[in-house]
Amino acid sequence: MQKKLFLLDAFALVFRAYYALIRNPRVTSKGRNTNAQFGFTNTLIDLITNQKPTHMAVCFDTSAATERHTDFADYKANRQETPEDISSAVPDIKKIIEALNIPVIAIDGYEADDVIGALAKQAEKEGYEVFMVTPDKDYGQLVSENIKIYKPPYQGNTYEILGPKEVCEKWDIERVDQVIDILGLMGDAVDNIPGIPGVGEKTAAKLLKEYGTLENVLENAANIKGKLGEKVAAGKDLALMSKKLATIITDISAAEFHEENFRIKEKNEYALREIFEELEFKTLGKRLLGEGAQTPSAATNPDGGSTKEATQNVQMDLFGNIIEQPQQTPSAVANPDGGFGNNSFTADKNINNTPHNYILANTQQLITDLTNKLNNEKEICFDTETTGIDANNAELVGLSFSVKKGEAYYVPCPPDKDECIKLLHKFQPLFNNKLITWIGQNIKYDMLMLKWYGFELAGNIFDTMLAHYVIEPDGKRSMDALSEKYLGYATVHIDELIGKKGKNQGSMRDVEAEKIKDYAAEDADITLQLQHVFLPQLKEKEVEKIFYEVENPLVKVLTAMEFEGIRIDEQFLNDYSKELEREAKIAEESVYKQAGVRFNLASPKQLGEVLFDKLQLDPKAKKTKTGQYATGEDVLLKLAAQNKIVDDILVFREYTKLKSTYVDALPLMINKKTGRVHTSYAQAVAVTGRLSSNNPNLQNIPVRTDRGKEIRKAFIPRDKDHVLVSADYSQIELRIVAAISGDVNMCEAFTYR
Amino acid sequence: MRYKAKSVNFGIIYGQGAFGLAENLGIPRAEAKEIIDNYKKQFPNIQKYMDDTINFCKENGYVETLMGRKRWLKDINSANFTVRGFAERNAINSPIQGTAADMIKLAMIKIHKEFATHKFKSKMLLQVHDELVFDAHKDELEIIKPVILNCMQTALALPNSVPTDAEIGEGKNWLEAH
Repeated sequence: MQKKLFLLDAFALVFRAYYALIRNPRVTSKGRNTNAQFGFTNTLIDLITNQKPTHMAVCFDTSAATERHTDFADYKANRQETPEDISSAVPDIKKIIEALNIPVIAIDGYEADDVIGALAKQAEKEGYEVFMVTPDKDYGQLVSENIKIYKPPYQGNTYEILGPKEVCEKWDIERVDQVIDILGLMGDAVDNIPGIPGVGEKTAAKLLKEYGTLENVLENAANIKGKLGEKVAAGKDLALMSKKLATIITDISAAEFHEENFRIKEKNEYALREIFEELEFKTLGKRLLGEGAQTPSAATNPDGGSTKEATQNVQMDLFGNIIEQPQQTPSAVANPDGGFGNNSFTADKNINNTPHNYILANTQQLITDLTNKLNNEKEICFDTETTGIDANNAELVGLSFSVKKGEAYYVPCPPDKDECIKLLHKFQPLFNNKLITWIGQNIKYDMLMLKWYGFELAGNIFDTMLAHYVIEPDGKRSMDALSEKYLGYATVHIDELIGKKGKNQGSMRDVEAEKIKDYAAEDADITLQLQHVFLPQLKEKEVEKIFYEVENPLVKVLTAMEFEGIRIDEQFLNDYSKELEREAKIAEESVYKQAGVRFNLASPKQLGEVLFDKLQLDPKAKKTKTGQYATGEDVLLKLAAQNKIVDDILVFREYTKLKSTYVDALPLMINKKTGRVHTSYAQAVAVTGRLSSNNPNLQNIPVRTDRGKEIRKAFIPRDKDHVLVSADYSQIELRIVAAISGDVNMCEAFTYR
Repeated sequence: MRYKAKSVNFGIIYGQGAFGLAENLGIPRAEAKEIIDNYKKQFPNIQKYMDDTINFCKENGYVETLMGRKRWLKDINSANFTVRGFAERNAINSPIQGTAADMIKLAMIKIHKEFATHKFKSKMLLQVHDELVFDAHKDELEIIKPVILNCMQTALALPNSVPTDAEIGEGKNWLEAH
């Protein structure tokens, strides 16, 4: 078997990881930013699983000055100060590497690239295929037939492997050892290597084509015509020093390649678990430590939208399904709860070690006692148990109530709808009492459930999920996460009742009431306790106005809108689907005609071969991880202007996507009971305060193209007595800018029209 | 053209700079710079507003909307310019986006109340971006239109007497109504 050694440039990768996640920072329950740890660990795991190295080591720079610093005081002097989140991440990262039993190497007086260079050369002699894992272009000078640069994937791109051919192409040079000549001539802004002032990459390459080496260029300064010759002559010393600075030192006696030390070994699970727990790497922990992927309770539980959290920064299709995972949130791939913060490992309280009094109210007498008791209350915490997460299709299984910490009631509901309504009637005086404030976690769901049975809550609403939304717009807020973060309490997991998510998951309906009682009563109890925590915080953070005047009152409005739904013209969608299919077919045929061959247009592999091998549309076409040509939209858009065939491919893709994602999918969303589509609004997701919607996701219905706009024709009035009305704010954001900036000219533009 | 104009306005306001604007509009960088310079000349207080907002955020750790919806941006004082840059853009963007959100939410609450008071058969159905969609009973159509517009226009009074404006349309489907 070919021996494969991977040498990682730790800091370069850590920095990259940190910035890749900067838009969606990972923050632990204690407020630590773990971008760097998370991103780096993912890169490491990805390498081990997908590249299957036999040997590996991670190299760090040290804080000791290197020869380069002593030679040239300005070396790397322009570097930004390292963000504190990164420097504080380094000890964790070292712990993780060590727990994976991978050697950490740092040699005083040398930078990581020197150490990697030295190790790579030794390993090459011993017959290894060496990959230097780094985004840094300077490594080009070390590349050979058996030593390559592995550039990890970044921002949605695939990884790249650069051998001598690629390096030479990149710099437009003939031999890789000219990389240092190039860098010497042009300098390197990143490392503050000066180079010759006024000489850039192209000029440097041109000079080297003629003279071969930097030294030879300098010697021939007199022969170089015009200004350039003057520049070269004047920059001689700088150039020589720059070349020296850019040269990676591979002769380091302290760097020794030990085959056995570098061999990939078993990981230290205990140590890994410990550090992952500290960093709250839940999903990674499960993936690596073999507990199997668990589904979070909230995914099957409407109380607080952990499914919504996961979709927060992810592109979604019409129905809120994730269609594209941005590279920067790799955790979301494995686990719909985003993997973090939900069950952090910090909660040490749970139902078994916490005093509680959870009461099953399943007889006439007990229910009467309960309603009498509740009738005297001003605030009642309320929750429902149901058969599913879609309130428009689920049935009530039970109700739970709590008015005092540690004490809660669970009332099972009969499966028969009429019987259930009879039971609910006993609670009607409560539901109708305008003086009662109802506390709930994502109470819109529970209100929607009640509405399907014909009941509404007349009083005010206090939604703990929304309270948290205004207190901490960026945070995670599934009930489990909030409970652990604010109460240090791990709730009963829904998996314990109905099993893991998936087709074998059971129904709440089949679980005995006594067993549901603990789970359901606990939910009401915990929600009440969360309200106690949030109440003072709303005041302290001065967000009471937005909470009491906007978010809470909106809950009833959204409940009513979701309940109504909208009628969909199925016939139109059927016809439109056929039309799109027909036109996609025309575009497809046109592609085959121009290609001179029939192939599977839906196959990126075959498409890539036709465009780039057969038709040679782009000699520099890029390949993906799997070795096939990249044929993503960005790639094709660049080629579309000059090539009709590419234009046709884009048309084919647009139409087939419109068809499958929207036109064919929308009818499937129609509710059987009502014949209408009931969009669900997410009120606590967008950090700016905007609403978002799922099933279907209205924001995603295309508006830019005419073909996309047509989809709106499918939304129609309920019957012939109605018409659809649409009201739209015009230029609202600009008006707000004018108003809050007070810019006189801009205000006038809106005032006098 | 409107798409272009909108990009210009917001591109500048959100500080994407000449480079970002040129990329977005597919125009040369020099042209983008000229647009931005002209814009700043025409609306001199916008830059001041942006600076004030960022300074407020640096001092208080948050920015807020007209209704007091807050966004905490702990990176606003970061020593690292990339990190800080994200926070600064969010500091400028959040109050604007957030105030628009506050406004339409308040309008929805108002409309819901009005519809209930008048016992209209018409129903509010959808909210998307800055738009609301209704099933309007034909008998009520001319009554509810001014009610809706009035609720939207008075939902949240903007400072400096800047009026809000809403448009309304009807049709046999959403495309036609919009």
